[in-house]
Amino acid sequence: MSRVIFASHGGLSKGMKESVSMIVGDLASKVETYSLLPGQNPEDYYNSLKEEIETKNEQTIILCDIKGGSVHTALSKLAVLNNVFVFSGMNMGLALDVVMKSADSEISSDEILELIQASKDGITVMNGISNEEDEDF
Amino acid sequence: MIKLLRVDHRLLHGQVAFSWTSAIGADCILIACDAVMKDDLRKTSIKLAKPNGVKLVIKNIEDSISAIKSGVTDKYRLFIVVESIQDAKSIAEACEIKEINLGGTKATPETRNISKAMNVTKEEEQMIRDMVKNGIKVEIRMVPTDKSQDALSTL
Repeated sequence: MSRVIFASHGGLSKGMKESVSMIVGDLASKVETYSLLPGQNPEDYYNSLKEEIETKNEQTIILCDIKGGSVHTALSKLAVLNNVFVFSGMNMGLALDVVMKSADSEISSDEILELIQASKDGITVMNGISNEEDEDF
Repeated sequence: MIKLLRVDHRLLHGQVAFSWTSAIGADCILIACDAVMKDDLRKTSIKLAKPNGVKLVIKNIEDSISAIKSGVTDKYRLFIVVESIQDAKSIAEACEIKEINLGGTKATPETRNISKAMNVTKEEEQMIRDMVKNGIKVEIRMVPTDKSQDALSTL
């Protein structure tokens, strides 16, 4: 089991946890959230997290809302620590995958790359009825 | 091998697709439903809910039963989703499936609520009793991490 943190500007991280819980139930109960509020400095959270991570020997997976935002910029510095992965572009598919895949064991580096691909594949657009052929056994 | 037969009026959606498929290790999902076969728009939306790396087959009830009986589905770890208790009963009886999972059915003026997401008519209540009498285990469970509830105990 890994430590999972959703981090965002404002309430997105808390909302994401709530939404993910709707699908996976208690599996998401240990997910931590960080919401950067106006007037706060994400460096403070970075410092406290750094200290915690350094004293514990566990995989830490951090999902940040947007690449290059102040949350991501501050927390990405944690990626130099052992067994810490910092994602940007958190979406529900990625959040779900991370919560489910990290529930029983740590996520391998190969799996991390698959997660990124699956999360990108989850971004689609529809217009009209799909012409995709039906599958059969 | 049939891993799960589930009743869910929404058929395939996030909750079912993600959590159940991974929890039971399914590699093929069969949506058995007469109405969907006549509704291209609904079919399209169901296909969107297909998890990566899983095969999705949509058939009416009769064809679903024939396919399962023919043995063509044996090589899959099959996850069957139907929209009603009647459909689940038809398939379970025809294919000798001994366990049914009740996920959710819509509330209507004719139904009464038996759990958070399950609403049953008098006829459906009788179907559950009949199935249990015939040795089929009927449980109510929304998501895999929920506690399994014996359907009979809620009636």
